[in-house]
Amino acid sequence: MINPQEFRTIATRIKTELQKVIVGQDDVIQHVLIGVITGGHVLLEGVPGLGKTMLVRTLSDVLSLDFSRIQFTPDLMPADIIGTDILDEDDQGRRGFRFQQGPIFANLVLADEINRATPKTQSAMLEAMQEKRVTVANKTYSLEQPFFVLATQNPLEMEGTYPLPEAQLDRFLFKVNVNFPDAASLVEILARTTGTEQPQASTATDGKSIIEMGQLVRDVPVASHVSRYIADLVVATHPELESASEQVKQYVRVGASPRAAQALMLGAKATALLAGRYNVAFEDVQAVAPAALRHRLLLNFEAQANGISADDVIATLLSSLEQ
Amino acid sequence: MSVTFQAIQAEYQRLQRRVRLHATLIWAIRGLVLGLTVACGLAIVARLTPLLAQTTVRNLALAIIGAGLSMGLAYGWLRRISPQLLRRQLDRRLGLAERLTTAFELETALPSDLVASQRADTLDALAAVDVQQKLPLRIGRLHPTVLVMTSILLAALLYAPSIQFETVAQNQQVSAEIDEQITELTEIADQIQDIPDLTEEEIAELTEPLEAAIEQLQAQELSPEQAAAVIDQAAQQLQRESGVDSIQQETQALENVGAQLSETPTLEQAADALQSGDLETAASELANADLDTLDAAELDQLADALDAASLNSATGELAESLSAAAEAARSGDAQAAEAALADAADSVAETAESAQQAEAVAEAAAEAQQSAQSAAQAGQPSQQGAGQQAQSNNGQSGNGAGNATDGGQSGSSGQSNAQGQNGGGVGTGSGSGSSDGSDQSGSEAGDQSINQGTAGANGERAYEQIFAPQRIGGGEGIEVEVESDVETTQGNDILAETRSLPDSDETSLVPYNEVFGDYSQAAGQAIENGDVPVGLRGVVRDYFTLLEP
Repeated sequence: MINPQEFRTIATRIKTELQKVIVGQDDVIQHVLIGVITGGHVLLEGVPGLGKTMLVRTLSDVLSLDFSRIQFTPDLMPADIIGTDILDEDDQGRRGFRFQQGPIFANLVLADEINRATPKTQSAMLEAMQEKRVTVANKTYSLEQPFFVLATQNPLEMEGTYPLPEAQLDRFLFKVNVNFPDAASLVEILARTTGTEQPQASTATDGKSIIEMGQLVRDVPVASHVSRYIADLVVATHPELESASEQVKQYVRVGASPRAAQALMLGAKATALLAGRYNVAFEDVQAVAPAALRHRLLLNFEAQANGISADDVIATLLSSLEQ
Repeated sequence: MSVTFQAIQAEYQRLQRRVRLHATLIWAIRGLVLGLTVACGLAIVARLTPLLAQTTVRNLALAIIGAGLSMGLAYGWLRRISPQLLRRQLDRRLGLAERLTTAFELETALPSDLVASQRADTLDALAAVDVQQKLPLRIGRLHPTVLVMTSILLAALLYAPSIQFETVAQNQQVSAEIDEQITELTEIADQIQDIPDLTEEEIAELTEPLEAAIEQLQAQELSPEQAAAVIDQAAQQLQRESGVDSIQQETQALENVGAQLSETPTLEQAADALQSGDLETAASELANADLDTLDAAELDQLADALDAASLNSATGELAESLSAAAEAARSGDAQAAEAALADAADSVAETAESAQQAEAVAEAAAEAQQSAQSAAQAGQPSQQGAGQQAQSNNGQSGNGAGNATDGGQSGSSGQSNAQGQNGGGVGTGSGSGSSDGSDQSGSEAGDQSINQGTAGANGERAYEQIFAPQRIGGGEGIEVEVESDVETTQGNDILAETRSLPDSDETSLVPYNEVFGDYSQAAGQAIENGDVPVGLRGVVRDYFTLLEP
């Protein structure tokens, strides 16, 4: 079993290796790392060219995990993801169906531009993401651990896209916004990517260590009032409750689910360990709250009309909620 | 419980003490401010209503402030907040990132690497805390500001002059003076009871007015004037009950008897004793008179003297005894004359005894009169040093009312009613009585000068003297020789109703009914002009009412 010190060592090594390739996206790296450690899936949202795919690919190299990439398109079918039974003939000439695994059977799956697939295809991911298994022709196949889905989507292109349904979104531990890097980071990116030598990340750990790190995260103690704070934060997103703030009542259509609280708790625990602490603090919860809640808050039309984003609502809640 | 957790607990208790100390400091100041605020309220009430004296308010204010401080200290030190809440506060204030609360919640957790790491991390974080910086024993600006402001306000309320404070002080002084008068009246009643040979009925009759006065003084809240009137009334009644006037007449008559008997050598010693007022000696001499050795001529001379004396005798018994003695002497019966003189001696002895009793009662009445005078002067501003109480008459200068004489008589009434009361300036009173060198002072008119207080706190003002009657209804004062406008003839025959003074053939007394009106009118004018203090106006009026012919 890994101990806290080893946890920090491995985590630091992973981040260091990732930062060799990915420049200026420390917050994204942090959240992705938390997702990987806690076994959660991460939805990366950003315009093309910000290194989302590069990040996931590098991560697979660093973690020495099986990696598969699925480019989601409107004509992508569920069987293209999870696999299908095909007719096969053995050496004796006997024919039978054999399950052909799809790209979902990997430790690290990159669902690129996931919102380009039809809802039917998107839903094919549900069981795999939640139960970490797939069912084909009444047969259930377990996915190898660790299993992570890192999906990306483009926020600008609405034509020919299918927004993820709420149930699908809720499966993601975090939704991380990948922002445009600042000038200094951009200069560094140019220096690293336009030379003759491309930066290469080396392997930092393996899947077994990742699983143990995840188990250690779950053992991190949380004070009762911090747990209560997480619960209060999630409850505060529900406009139907009398205790909800005026802003929530005005702009939020659907509040966060209990999975949001779980995401907050696990994310805060991992954050605490990554910060070198052995207990969860309020600041850990606040650090992961936007990523854990933004895709779980469904805003109404009035919010969109007034330019109110989920992040605005979350920021207001964090500043007003009593610790 | 691991050793590490004990170390955390020790650190926690150190922080707890620091927090409690800081809370005590804060609450002490809050208690102080509360005490000051309540004291300000008390001072404001005291300045609006005449309830408490200034000294009392100050003492109460000090007590309230002390109580507030004590309450603040006690509350700050003994105040207990929930340990969970305190740990959460410490986590927040010291930047411990919930380490402390988590460590205490892990107190009973099973040992593990993570728990051990958490405790070690917590202990390191606690040890790294700069307590003096994170938990300074400082207070914000608000508390000292409020403290200073309330202190200044209270000082102003306590030490600034207030008419209510002065009123209360005056009332207290009046009350104390009345209590003193009650004590004095009680002592006077006791003196009356100690007078020898008085019967129970006489004692009851004499002490009744005093007891009634005491009851009135005790039962009611009287003003100085009212108290003085009550006591004065009792004194007058006591004076009347004493019968001192009739005794004086009898004594005077016995003096005249003595004058008549002085011409007989046999009774010369008795005569001298009668003239000097030594009635007991006179009675003894009369009772022991030896007439057996007298011849007929001497007995006739004695009989003439006794007849003349019997005519001047005030009492019937004495006159009869003297007349019987004269008749016996004229008839040559010396023994019968001696027996009659013995009867006369008994009458004189009775008069002597009555005179002693009357004198004692009169003395008690005089003391009561003095009490009335003291009561009338109680609570006067002059006795408080209350300069603000002086009547402001715009520096009106007093008028000396000296009546200079040009007839060689002393300028007796140099009583300068120097009522130089003033508001802003200094009133100057000037008595202008002139004297021709007589050794009689100019204040003999039964006046008592009262020092009208000391200067007030804000200005050294010269206070006028007030001349108040001293012997209203009391014993006789020093006789005053004043100019007489009585016309005399060349042969010194007195035409008006005058009497010669016993020891001075050259002086005369002014007819009373002729001068009374002038003096009474002058006194009334002085009262109307405000020259007489309010507390003494009733006394002056009573004085002239008593003297009214």
